[in-house]
Amino acid sequence: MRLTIEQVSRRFKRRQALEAIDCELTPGIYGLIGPNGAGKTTLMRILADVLRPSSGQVAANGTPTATLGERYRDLLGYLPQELGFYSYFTGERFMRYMAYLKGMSGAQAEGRITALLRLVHLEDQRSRKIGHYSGGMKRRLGIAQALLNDPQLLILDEPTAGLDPKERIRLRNLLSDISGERIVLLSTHIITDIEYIAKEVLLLKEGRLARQDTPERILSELTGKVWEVETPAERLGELERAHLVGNVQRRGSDVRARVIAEARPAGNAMPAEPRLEDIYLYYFGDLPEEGGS
Amino acid sequence: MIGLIRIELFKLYAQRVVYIAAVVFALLYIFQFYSSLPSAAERAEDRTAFATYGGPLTEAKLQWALDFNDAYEEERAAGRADALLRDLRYRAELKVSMEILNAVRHQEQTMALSEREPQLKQPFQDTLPHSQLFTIPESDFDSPQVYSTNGKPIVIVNQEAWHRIVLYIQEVGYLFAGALVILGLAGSFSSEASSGADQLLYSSRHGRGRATWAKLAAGAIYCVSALAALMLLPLTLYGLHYGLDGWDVHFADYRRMASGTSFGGSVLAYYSLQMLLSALGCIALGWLTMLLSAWSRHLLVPALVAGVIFLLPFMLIMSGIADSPLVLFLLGLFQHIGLIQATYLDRPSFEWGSSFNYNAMMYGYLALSLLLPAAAVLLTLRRKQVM
Repeated sequence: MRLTIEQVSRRFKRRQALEAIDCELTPGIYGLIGPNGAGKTTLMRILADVLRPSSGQVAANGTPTATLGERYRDLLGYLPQELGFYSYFTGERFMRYMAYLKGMSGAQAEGRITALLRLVHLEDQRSRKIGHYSGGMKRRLGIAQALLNDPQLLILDEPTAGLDPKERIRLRNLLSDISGERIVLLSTHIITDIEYIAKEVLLLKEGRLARQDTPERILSELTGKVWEVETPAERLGELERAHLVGNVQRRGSDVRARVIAEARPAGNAMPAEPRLEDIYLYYFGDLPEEGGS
Repeated sequence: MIGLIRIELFKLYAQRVVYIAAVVFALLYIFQFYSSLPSAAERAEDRTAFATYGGPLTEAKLQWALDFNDAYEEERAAGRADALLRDLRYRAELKVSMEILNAVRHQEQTMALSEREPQLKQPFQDTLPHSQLFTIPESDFDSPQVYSTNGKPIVIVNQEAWHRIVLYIQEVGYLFAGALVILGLAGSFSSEASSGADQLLYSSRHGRGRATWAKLAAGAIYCVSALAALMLLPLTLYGLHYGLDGWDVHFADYRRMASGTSFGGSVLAYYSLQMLLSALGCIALGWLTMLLSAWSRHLLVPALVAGVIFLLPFMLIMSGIADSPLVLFLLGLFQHIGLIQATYLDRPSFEWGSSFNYNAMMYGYLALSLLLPAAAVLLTLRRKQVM
């Protein structure tokens, strides 16, 4: 499958949420990164066919999704950021409902539901009402429903939100396993979620696609610009004012800070291996945080 | 599709507010019913009196009613009526005699005396329920029957049960039904929009098409079941305390509510048709509520707007401004009360004296009230976006 996003823009009254997004997605995992308000959710909603672009179009294998209609949605698995559940449904009933909505017959759905609930470790909770599920369990159920129709395009908006570290690792491995012949687009604030599995990273900044590239190539951009600096705690503010400062570890009266700078920021600064977290800081460190879009 | 409808029904029936409302309505009705229920002894006397003097009206029974009434009038003139009325049997017989006299007077019926064509009598006698004949005193078996001007035999029946059952939907049933429909369906789409579940629906293959049809179908089933549940209450209560005898008696013989009716079937046939039309009226209101729900992200907005639309004619009439052209136009525009009451079933001409075919107009209005909201819901959902 090939998904083409052509000059997609979306405007909400006075706010331009997306502006002229152009990119092409082929099978593999794509990480969508950007601060709150960058337009990640808006882009994902457009790709999930629940929101129309103000201009531009999305095409699947060359055919506009607006023309494909339900044939496009048939290829789709979507986990929204804010997923409303029917709290009085059991997990199993919810999955069956989603299976019907995705056009699966009762017999088809039965086996698939069991397999997916097992996959997300909810098999023994299938008869419990969703209202009694924890946040993580709901998220896992959301992921399971997105996979019901074996989608060619899997859109996951913050899939790891609410998951504990073990579940996050499990999801990461699961996505890695299933990505084979499908496009997986996932947005997250937790950069480590995509660091090891993403084929490409899409950086969204103020509604524009700032960068689309492989993690390796993006990381290479930062080679020689990431430093680790040990400094007394009281001088951290000074460092923050002068440079982009990432992770800070406290060590007694000193701190060890990760700093992004074109030149050595301090005499004792040691060069460090760039990570995707540094990329996030490099691209978005100067932006104020906004509400989600 | 069946699976989707089942799940949509489950969603509707999982709403606690519907059950709470239904229980409140039921309690109100039960309270009203028992507060006006005559004693068991009085009802037993009524049953006996109607069994003895009711059924197909004969000349002998008519004569008895005239004599009884004359005697009562004399007693009343002498100031002894109160004492007589304390006797339950006397009171029951007086009721029957009044029914007989009303039957003859109110419908301008003429007595068909023994010289009436015998072939006129025969076909109607064959259709009379035998159960109503066995209590007639033996000496009256051969007494000629009394016929109405249209040639049908006059039947005297205890009207209490079926009269109240038929009028229930027009008196309070429509309010209960409307409230249950609005409460149950106001959240059909808006609750999903407010919780975010709509994103899953609209991104799925059938979320904008088949799912909407399933919701409409489930909404219709819900409306019918809500109405049926409401109707079961008077049927059960009156059946329990009065019995449902007389179900096969001609509707026109229920003179208290059917004087001048053009309906030609039994009271049960009338009631069935009335319920069918009421159910369609409920569905029309339900689909209108669902349309409002599809346009809103808040649960209360569609409930309030649908409530106002439903009660608009009632409020306009109560406010006493029902004479202005604008008000009359609004009354004509939103007639969901009338659709649920199904009063047009037996009203062939327009209320304001016009010769306009009122029934035909209301059937047309009912069809539009069903089609337009359903089409608008389908169209809305096809184009709906999640912001």
